[in-house]
Amino acid sequence: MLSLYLALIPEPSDKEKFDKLYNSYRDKMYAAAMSVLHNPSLAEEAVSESFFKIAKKFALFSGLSGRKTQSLIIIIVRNTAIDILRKERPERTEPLGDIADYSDSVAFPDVRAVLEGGTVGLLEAIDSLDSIYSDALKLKYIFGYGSADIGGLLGISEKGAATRIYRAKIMLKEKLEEMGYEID
Amino acid sequence: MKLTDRANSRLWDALLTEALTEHCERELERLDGTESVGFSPEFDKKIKKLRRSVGIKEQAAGFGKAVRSIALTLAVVLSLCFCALLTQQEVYAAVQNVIKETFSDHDYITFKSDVEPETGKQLRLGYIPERYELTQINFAGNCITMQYLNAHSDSDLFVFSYSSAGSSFFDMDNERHEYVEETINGQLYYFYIATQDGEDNTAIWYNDSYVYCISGQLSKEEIVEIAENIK
Repeated sequence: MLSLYLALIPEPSDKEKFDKLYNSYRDKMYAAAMSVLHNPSLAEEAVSESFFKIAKKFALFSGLSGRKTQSLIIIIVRNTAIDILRKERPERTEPLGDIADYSDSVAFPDVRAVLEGGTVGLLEAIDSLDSIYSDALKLKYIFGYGSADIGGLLGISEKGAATRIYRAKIMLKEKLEEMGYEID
Repeated sequence: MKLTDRANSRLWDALLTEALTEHCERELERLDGTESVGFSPEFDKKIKKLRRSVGIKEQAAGFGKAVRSIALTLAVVLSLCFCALLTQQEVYAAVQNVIKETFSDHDYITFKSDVEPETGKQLRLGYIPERYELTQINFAGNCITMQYLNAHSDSDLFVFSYSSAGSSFFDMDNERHEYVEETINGQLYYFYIATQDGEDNTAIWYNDSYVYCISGQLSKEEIVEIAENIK
């Protein structure tokens, strides 16, 4: 009987966590959305849409540190803002292009050559990427999400998420080649 | 020495993770110190609605899980209680359509039926031990009694009776008889076996909303043979 009563009592921690997220990050989310949209009402829309995505995928936030939670939230709101921008100004965005087949493996240069300079060179290469690609990489590598979850967070299909990650790696590799790192 | 592709790939994964984490950190540092913003009433309304929905799916799943868990626990507890109750003779008897009350010198047995008994049932014995012959039939309501007498002895007789379960009761001596329940060829019998000379052996059984009884100076085996050949 106790477990029945406990199940009927609303779980306080989820609502409390959501409140904490909202109060802690809504202003930063608004700032991140404004940097993409430059429009207060659209930025507000991006923030509310993002909170909707957060509520739907709330389980993904379980166990994350404060800094990681903030990173994830900023990734979500930035990509939501980009989606809104695409709908508002489709001529301002570049088409992704089709990739008929994609592979999970991309041949990168010998890692030791890049390591000699620390992560500076790699950071520069990541900086050169469009944020939708670097964000997809962050969701995969920092948070360890699969294509399905990444798609859900970015508002794209699972295949779209896998394609975006592949394109991101290809662009990263091309940038590293440009920077003088040789690919075998 | 050249790294294997696998080793290179794994090292790249680790390096990328490190670089991407640093990239995130620099981004967050740029957002630190962001000033507070006033949001519109529509925005606040949307967020309030969202807040109510958080955790509901998990609650529903949890509620469902709790209900299933409680239902299973109740089922197990009730089953255990029922099994314990079945060890009580009265309950066991009630389950078997018979209620047996034991007193110091006699047992009082009544029967009940969940089914409306067939009316006008007419039976006869297909097997009668050689020394006996039918001498009397009595009709009392829907109870029929047939008396079979030993042709060579006025005191040696056996009685076969049957009646609808709802109108049957037996008052059986348990001081000079041993009570035995036994299932023979799928039929449960309630035997009262004589423990002293001159006492009768009796078998009572229930079948298809009718109660039957054979009592007399017969062995248990003879009684069962008579019972199994009733037509």
